[in-house]
Amino acid sequence: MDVKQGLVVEKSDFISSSLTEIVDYRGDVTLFLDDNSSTEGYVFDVVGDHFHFYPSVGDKQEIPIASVVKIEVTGKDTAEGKSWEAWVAKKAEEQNK
Amino acid sequence: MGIPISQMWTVSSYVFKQKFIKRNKHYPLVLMLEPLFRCNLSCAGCGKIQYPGHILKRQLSTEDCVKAVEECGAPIVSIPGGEPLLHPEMPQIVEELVKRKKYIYLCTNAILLEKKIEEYKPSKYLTFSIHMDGLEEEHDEAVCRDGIYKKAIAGIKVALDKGFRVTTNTTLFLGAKPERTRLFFDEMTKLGVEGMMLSPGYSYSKAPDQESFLEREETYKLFQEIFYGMKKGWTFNHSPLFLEFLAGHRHYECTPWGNPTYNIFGWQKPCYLLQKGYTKTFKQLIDETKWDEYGQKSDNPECANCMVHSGHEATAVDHTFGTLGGFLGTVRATLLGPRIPKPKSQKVPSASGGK
Repeated sequence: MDVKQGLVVEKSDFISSSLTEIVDYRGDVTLFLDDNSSTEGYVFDVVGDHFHFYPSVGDKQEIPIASVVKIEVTGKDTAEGKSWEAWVAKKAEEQNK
Repeated sequence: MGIPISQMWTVSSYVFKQKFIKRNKHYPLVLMLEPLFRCNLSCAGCGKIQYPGHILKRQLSTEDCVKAVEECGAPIVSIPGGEPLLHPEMPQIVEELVKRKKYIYLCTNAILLEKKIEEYKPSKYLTFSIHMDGLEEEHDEAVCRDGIYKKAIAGIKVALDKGFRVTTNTTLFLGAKPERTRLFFDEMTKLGVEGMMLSPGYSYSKAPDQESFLEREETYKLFQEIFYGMKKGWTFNHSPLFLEFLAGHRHYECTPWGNPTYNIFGWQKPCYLLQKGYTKTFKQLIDETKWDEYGQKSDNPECANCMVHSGHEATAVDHTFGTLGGFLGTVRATLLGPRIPKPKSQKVPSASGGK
């Protein structure tokens, strides 16, 4: 599964590997809950049958996986786009000026 | 050696007690306390800072830090980050840990050190460990910003002038030039730092720069070339057996529980570099982590080339205090210098042949 901004994972696709990839993603996701509410934040772990989650505002939460109907990757991947190559290219450009 | 005798005594008596009195196999040596992830640099080799903004704004409180330190019990507390000097409660955190007689290594890029140094009091328990990845050209390139080497040098000088303990910590990546690294050691020695810490870079899956990390045999070759003919004035803040390990004279397996990590997510499984979940308590970390799934002998590909000090220094220390051979090897290496294979000898230690 290629986790990137805009990806939607439906409940039927909640398998162990897809949840691991959501945890590994270094950006925010939105969890859509079965009471029609939603919450955006960072999933940092899955323990047993709960997401361990920091909402954008507020304290750490444990959200039952069973209560989540859909996950959408809504935040950008913060690990992307800061490559060593970009830094070297920038340096080279500065030196050539 | 650069480490004060009182610290060596504290560590050796702690290890002795854990090994021979408490018979505790999984004892921690250095707590890696990460009170925050935000940083005033964005280094290409760093996998610690890529988080959403609301995560970077969070931090452990003084109370959280003290609780983690007491729960863990390790005699040494390393405070990396992020940049710890950005934490508004850092002086109080340090003060509380000093009160508890913990040896603290406050790992900083030193950008803010001149400005904030008055907030700290010199103590044998407090060491500023300054991030220095080489001479000016190499360091500024590694941290992706010009001018940082000069700031770090200024920070080192101020800290030394004020009577603080100061060490450097250096990560070496693929392409590091041995002759430049040796010159860097000369420079740091001239400045008068207490010791230098070294580690080969580890390829974090989240580090943007995946091509610059060293593989195991390249690591041996690099450190053989750096250490062979080691100058007497160079002082390293490491067990000499760890230096022999880096240069391929001996093999050590990883001791991932030796440097447990605590941050805003909890106790990080299994080590400082891998993130395989978190536990709420230190006891859960030790009891619930499947330790045999990590380290070179586990055949876990994520561990195959890792030789970082946070996983292997604890093995060297355990070897020193746990076996006569290790103890005598440490005495010999301390008096005569570490055994470094000749460069180009292509010596590779047997992974199954013990230490």
